[in-house]
Amino acid sequence: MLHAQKIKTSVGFEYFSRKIGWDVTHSSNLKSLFFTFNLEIEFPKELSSNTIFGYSFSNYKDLTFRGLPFSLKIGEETGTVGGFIIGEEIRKGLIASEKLKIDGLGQILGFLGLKKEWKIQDLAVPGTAEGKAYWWRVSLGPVFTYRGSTKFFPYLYLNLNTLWGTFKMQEAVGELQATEKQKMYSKSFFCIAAGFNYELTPAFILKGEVSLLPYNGGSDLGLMIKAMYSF
Amino acid sequence: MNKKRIFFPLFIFPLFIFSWNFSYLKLDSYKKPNLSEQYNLHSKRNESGRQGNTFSGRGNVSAKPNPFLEETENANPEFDRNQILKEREPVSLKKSGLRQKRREDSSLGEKIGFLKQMRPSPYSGPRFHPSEVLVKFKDSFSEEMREASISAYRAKKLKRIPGLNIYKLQIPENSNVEEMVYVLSMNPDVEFAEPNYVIHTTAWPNDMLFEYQYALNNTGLPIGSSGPTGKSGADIKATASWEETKGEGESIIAVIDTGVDMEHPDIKNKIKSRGKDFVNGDDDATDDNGHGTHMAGIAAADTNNSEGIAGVSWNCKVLPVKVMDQDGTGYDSDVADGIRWAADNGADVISLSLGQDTPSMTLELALEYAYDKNVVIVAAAGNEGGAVYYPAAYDEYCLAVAATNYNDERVTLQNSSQDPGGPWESNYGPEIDVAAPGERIISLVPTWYFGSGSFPYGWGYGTSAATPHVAGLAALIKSIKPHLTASEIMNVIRYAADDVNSSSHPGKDDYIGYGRINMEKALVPIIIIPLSQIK
Repeated sequence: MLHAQKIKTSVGFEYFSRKIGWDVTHSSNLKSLFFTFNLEIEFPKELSSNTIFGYSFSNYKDLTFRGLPFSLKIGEETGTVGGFIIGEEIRKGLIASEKLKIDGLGQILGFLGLKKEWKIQDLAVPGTAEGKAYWWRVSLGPVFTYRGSTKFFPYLYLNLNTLWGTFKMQEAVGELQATEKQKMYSKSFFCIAAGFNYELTPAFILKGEVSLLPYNGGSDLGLMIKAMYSF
Repeated sequence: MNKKRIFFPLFIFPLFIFSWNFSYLKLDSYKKPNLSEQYNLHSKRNESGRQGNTFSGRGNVSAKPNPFLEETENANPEFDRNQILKEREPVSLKKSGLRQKRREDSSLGEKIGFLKQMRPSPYSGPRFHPSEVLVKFKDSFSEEMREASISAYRAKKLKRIPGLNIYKLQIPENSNVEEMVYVLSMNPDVEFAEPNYVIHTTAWPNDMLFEYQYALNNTGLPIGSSGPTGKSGADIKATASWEETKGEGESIIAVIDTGVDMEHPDIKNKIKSRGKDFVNGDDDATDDNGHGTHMAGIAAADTNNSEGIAGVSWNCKVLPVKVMDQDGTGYDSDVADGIRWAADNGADVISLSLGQDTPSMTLELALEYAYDKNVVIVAAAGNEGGAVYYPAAYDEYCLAVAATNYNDERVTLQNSSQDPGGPWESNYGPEIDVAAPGERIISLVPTWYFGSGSFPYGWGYGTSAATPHVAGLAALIKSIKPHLTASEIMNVIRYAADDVNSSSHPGKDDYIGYGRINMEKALVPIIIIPLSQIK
């Protein structure tokens, strides 16, 4: 039986841009900005669990639905869909020395989008579109933390990182009714993240992280800021 | 401390840092077409002289009797009404002087070559500038007030287009184009506000007569030698739609007509098979009249082959079915059989540039047969200025097509009075679904039509000529969306139409139905606008 040794709460902002493929030949960028509330529980044996809740704005610019009677494209600045974020993060200490600590870290994060309505303009009859999206992101890898200083702890997180999801679009134009599900997947699968934990007080920690996800022909970017408070 | 002072920057800061929109406006540089050069080319053609080669009216035929013109004079009125399915088009195929000009003008090839170099790659960038809008204030609004109003919106004036008094504004950093357009549009002193759309080159075939095909891309230039000038933009938006698709060879248009000249250089590579001849009872639907070849060319002439014309569907195939004889007449039975045969032999679309004024159960059953096999059927409304012909009037199974002209007007007795075949009027009635250009349409004629060695292209008129434009569009839709049913494709064509007579007949009407077809709307992905912004 595991007994909690420490409870941390935190709020954070995270942003990422991810190249997504969605059918054989097309791709676009999924950009997501989210605000999260985290509840982290530390257990004995260097094990901790972090439960994540939050709200996100995910932008699906250029996602196109060519299977519908009228092909639809999510526009430059009209493709932001709001939705809830849920997730779980497990961390396990693997190796620790005086100046270096290596943890194993795995995270699964889900975006459950809310329904969004659009208008299809300039047709001879009124038309609307209704979309709902979700995505899942999974990462797994070691975290190398330098513990040489007293308050500032830089780290490097190398992880396998993938994202997949679905966007379901319903179209209604006059007598035409149709639905298309667009499955998407990330083009990048490996992530190099560099970050730091800065102890403002023993109980209050600031965390920042920049991540780079290379893929064939480019790279994705991620940024994260978190403020943690321990009880 | 004020709580807002703490939380507002905390929330907003990341929004600025992680800028939401990283799109860049990127336009491939290209050389703009030299319109004056094209116009000069046009003018030279005008000067080439065609008097000796032009049909000027009914019966004025030199090389071969023109069946389009003869058939109404020779027809038996009784058969006309009850038994004979007549091709009634007041079609006048005029012999063009372009052939001679092409021989004479050795620089023509070079000029066509210039267009070929101009052919752009497909454009897939942003639709409009991400931080600019265009706004026109009402003239009564003074310049000082305009400037003040622009500042009030926290926008920055980038430019004022002199003469037009249209302002190019840079929108505030934390707003987006759609919002800004919406907000400006609400201002009673603003005449209009719109995004600054990205202009880009479109798919431009290198077919030498393409510039005369106003129906596909109306530049407002004269339509052929001494032809009328159309209204720029009064076209079916073909070039924009070809960015999305040029069709696939698997998509087949059955042209049920007088047959097709399968040796014509501008269509021989587009023929699916030698088809079926229900007039002579064989498997060779060769055209002995000319009408069918003209229709087939409009729908699917060989395109981007440096000669002749462009077809609506570049890559779709033609299945010729001959149901009318060399006089352009036939029987319901043959048409019904032709429809049935086409549906059984792979046709995705059936184009019927024919009709008569009496209902026929035989025809209706044939249409139902093909429709149940998911074939899109398109039929001409007729040119008598009366009720819609059959089979077009069978509303449930086919799209009835009316005709518009180069000014996006429905063809009437008045505006067609200068036609060589005499004035005519597009039929009308509640069955009309859409319209397409049917006035002064250039297309193929059989190689023998104007005599051996002649230039095998001519002008056509009528709802006959309008119909294959719609058939070509249906084939393009089918080729990229093969899962759609015939009914769905028909509705896409209807709903995508431009209501070009909305000032006199808003909405669907008896004259042009939902409007003149718009290939771009039917094929190119439509950018959707959030409902919340519209409200």
